[in-house]
Amino acid sequence: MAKTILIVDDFENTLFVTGFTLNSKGFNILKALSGEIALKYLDGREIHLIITDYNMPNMNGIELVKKIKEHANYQHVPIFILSTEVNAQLKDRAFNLGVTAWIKKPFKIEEFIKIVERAII
Amino acid sequence: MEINLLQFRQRFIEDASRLLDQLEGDLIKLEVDNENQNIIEAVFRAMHTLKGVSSMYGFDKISEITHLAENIYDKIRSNTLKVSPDIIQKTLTTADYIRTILNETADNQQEDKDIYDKVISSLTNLTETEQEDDKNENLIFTKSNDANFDTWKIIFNNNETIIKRNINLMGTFKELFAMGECKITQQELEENNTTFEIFLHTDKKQEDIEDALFFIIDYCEITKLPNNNFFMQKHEDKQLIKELIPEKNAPQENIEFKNKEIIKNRINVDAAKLDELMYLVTELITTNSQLILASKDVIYNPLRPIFEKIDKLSKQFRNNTLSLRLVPLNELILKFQRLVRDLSIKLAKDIELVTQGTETELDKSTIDALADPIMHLIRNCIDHGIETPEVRKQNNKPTKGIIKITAFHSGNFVFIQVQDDGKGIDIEKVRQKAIEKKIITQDNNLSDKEIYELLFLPGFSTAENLTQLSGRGVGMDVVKKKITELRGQIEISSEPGLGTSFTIKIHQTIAILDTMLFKLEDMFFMVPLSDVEECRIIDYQEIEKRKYSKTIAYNEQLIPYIDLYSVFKLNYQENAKVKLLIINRQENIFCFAADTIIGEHQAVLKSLGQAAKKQPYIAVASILGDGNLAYLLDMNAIQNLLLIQKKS
Repeated sequence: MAKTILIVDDFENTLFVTGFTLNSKGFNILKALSGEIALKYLDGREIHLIITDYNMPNMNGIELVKKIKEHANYQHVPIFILSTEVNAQLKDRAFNLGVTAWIKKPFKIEEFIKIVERAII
Repeated sequence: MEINLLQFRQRFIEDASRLLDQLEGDLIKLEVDNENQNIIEAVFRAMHTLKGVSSMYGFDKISEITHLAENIYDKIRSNTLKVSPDIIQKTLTTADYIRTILNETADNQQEDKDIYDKVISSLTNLTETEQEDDKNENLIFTKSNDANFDTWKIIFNNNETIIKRNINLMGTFKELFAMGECKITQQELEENNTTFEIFLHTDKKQEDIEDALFFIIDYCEITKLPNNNFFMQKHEDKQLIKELIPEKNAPQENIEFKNKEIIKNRINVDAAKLDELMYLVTELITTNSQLILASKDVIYNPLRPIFEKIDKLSKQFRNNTLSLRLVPLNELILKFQRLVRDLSIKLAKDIELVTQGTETELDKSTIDALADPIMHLIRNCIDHGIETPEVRKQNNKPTKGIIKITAFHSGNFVFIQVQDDGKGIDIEKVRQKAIEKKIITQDNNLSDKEIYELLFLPGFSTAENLTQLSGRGVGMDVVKKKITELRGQIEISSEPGLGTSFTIKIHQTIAILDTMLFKLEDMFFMVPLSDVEECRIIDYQEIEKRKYSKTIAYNEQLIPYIDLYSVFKLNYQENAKVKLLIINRQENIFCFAADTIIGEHQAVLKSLGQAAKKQPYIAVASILGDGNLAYLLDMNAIQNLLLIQKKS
């Protein structure tokens, strides 16, 4: 059965490419152009993984994670943060908040898919 | 499905160009208002985004340059650097250069090496302290990767973060086990803090192990043990191990970008302007066929090559214009997702919408027209197809039902499939209902396909009790009608207990069609060329012989013969030889006769509007080169004649 992945990124291109790639691997994709939009998806539907960009206006990836963890229904959903930053402090903070993986951009598509599959299968 | 980044590259270039436009605007604003945090933030983000994405598409230079620029704006952001005209100027130059790289073709790559160096050095000058740590990062693990088996020791400190992060430790361990011989021992030091000692004997490389440990790599120490260790004693027979270990994955694909194209910015165009262009193109095509017709009479004509060139060009022009109107099906899907969600909650069913190939492109007007029919099909699937979770459980199905929308191309057609994994269509029930409604009689022997076809008849519904959804007054007949109006076809297939699938076959573009032109008496008619199987000439006796069964022998089988003359109330002039058009539509083979078969015709279709309301077998027409009207037969309606013939 297809699993649902919510992708959050303010750059439409990334959203499109990641969405397309994962969709072609059989995942059901939800897309959000901002953290605010992403939160609207948390309305009771089943989500198996959330992938968010770190650097976004208004609400960055970490802030979004905080908000997601406030949801009783969604606090156990694995979350990936994608970022070009490799700041160890930031990464630790994310992990302490419960982020499952910090993925450094750019990444190889094949590897990325592997990681996604690892997290939800 | 193969993933090829190439197909997105063009899109990236367009997106990036737009980002650069924005960036330029921001920079010019920043020049005046050089302490505006919002603009600084925007510039930083633009650089950041470009840095992250560009190298995925092979634009390593952009990645490097934007990395430098990003550093500068990061400093400005944190107030360690002030915006100066110099910085603005250099950033603008950088933006220009990025644009050049985006539009770069393979042959001019060499010469811009100088410019590249210049840009890099100008940016580096702005930030004296270039960070080194980024480079080191990739160097941490570059130890030997011997192809043979090695033993690795992994010490993994478990802590509570692992639990918080929802990491599936078992999955990680399973993956290690799959890599080779693996032994895991656990040592509990204190509460919530365990250490795992893992020994792994494998031919995989360190990267692969790190890969498997991806989620917990930060808490792991990986060391390679010298070769003669306790594992070797246990497994002297290396061959055995090799057999136990799954084959290594195929070598990684290298994504190469060979055809670099110069891509201009994307422009948004008013739909009305496109329609106008479409109209002009159709006029051009019509005029072109007039020109070709006129030039045919002259055998020797010095203008001939020019005519032919114009013919070729206008066809290219046509195809180009048509592609402008194509949009991906994705637009519709969001709507459907919402529908599925709302309805399944309403009906207390657990349903998921899965999509595949929704990037398939269709004419914008077709997509708009398809929204309602597909919506209705989905509604049908939810309402009649998928069972309630309790029933599903009883039938050993997963409680969650699935509706799948698949779209794909084939030739000039786009196929859209709506499938559910519900209870399927009960053929017997449909049959009984049809008999009850006196549509068929008890002894009508219909195939499954023909029975499904009955579902499209107006006022036909097998639902035992109409729910609020079915009560909307939109039936399957409307779905069929809508799709027929688009000159598409719809087919049902179903497997009791397993589900139902609706397949819509539709032309990608609708305004221009390749047809076969023929003449009945003095009227011109057309059928879509894709429906024509064959044209042949037979003896009149062949028709006469089976006049009552209305069939004709074709390739050692009897196929139905449709008498178009009586359909259109025309007179048939008896000839010794009869010209036949054999039609093949989704394995439905039938034929009709014509007085003259003229040949292929590229038809620009014009709706007949009210004029054709009373004529069910004609929907649209085309103006021929000589000014005559040719009517396109509605093949679905013609095909339905077969059903009527069968009944009588």
